[in-house]
Amino acid sequence: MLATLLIVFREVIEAGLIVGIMLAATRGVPRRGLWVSYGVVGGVAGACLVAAFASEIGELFEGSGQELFNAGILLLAVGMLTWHNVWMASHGRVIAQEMRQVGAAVVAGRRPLAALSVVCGVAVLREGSEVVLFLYGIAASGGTSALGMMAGGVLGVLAGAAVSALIYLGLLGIPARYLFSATSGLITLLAAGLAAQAVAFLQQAGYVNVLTVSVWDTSWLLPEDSVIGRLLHTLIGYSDRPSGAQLVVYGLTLAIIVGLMNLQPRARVVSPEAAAEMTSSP
Amino acid sequence: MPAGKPAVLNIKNEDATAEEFDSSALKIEKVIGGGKEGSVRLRPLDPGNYPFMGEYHEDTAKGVVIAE
Repeated sequence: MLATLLIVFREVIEAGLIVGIMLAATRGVPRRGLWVSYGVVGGVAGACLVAAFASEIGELFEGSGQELFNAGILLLAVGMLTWHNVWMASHGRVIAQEMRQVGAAVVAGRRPLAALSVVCGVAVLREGSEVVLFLYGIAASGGTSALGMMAGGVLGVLAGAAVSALIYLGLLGIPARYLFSATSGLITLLAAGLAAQAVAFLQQAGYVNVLTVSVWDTSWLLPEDSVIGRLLHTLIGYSDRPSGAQLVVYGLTLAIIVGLMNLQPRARVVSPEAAAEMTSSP
Repeated sequence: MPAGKPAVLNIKNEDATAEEFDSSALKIEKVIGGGKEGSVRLRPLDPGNYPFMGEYHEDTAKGVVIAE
């Protein structure tokens, strides 16, 4: 039961970290809970579907379907995170001002919540499909230990959700005027890490055959499958043996997001309507 | 296997249920359905031992790739 609990806990935390960051990034935005819930519920439904059709997906593209699918949804998440950050770069200052002046409730709800909803969905789908397959395997194998292991699975989900909630609350401890730069920074690193993971899947499937050699090996210092290694892997894309192509894509993603954010005209006015006009006709 | 050369690893899951072939050392994660087969590319490896495991049966499904 303990082994089950740990495996499920680990997967839930990986998804929960991302959902926590999305929630912190949308602090004070009306209906954000609804959007994030859409993402999570959609992710759970998607996870069940992906688990049910795991073999079928795997057999597509001459056996590389799974890798292409994973790379595809990771890159989708990277695109959505980029969109969010670029949007925030032009509107974030206005929102932070409003939060100080009129309180959180009135902050305009124009932010690309759908983008963050998709990111939550992707995170839950990816980790969730592994949990579903794992628990299904236990249930199917039956036996006397199956019940205890299912209980471990449920406890793992609850424990993972609790730790994710703590991380979210910790992020909320950041003062409002720093919160958006903190979450933008986190999201930029998260996006770069996801892009590098997508490259790893493409390399595993043989679609990217350049720069495949590992550039460094820090597995003696911080193994990627340790608790801290896993957290850093999820948060900033830490890898104990990154390939050259992963590093190049990581750096490119960082450069593109930061570049796009800096290209945005900074709105200094108070109303989001005026800010929107300024960005559309700079 | 020889070090410094890429290779393809063919994996056959003889169980009835799905398993995830997982190796942080080899940088591979692949779910293989019950009774199915799958193959993955190994990057060129430095000489050394690269452990892997079946993530859903961590205690018993273990192995190691040795590059030399």
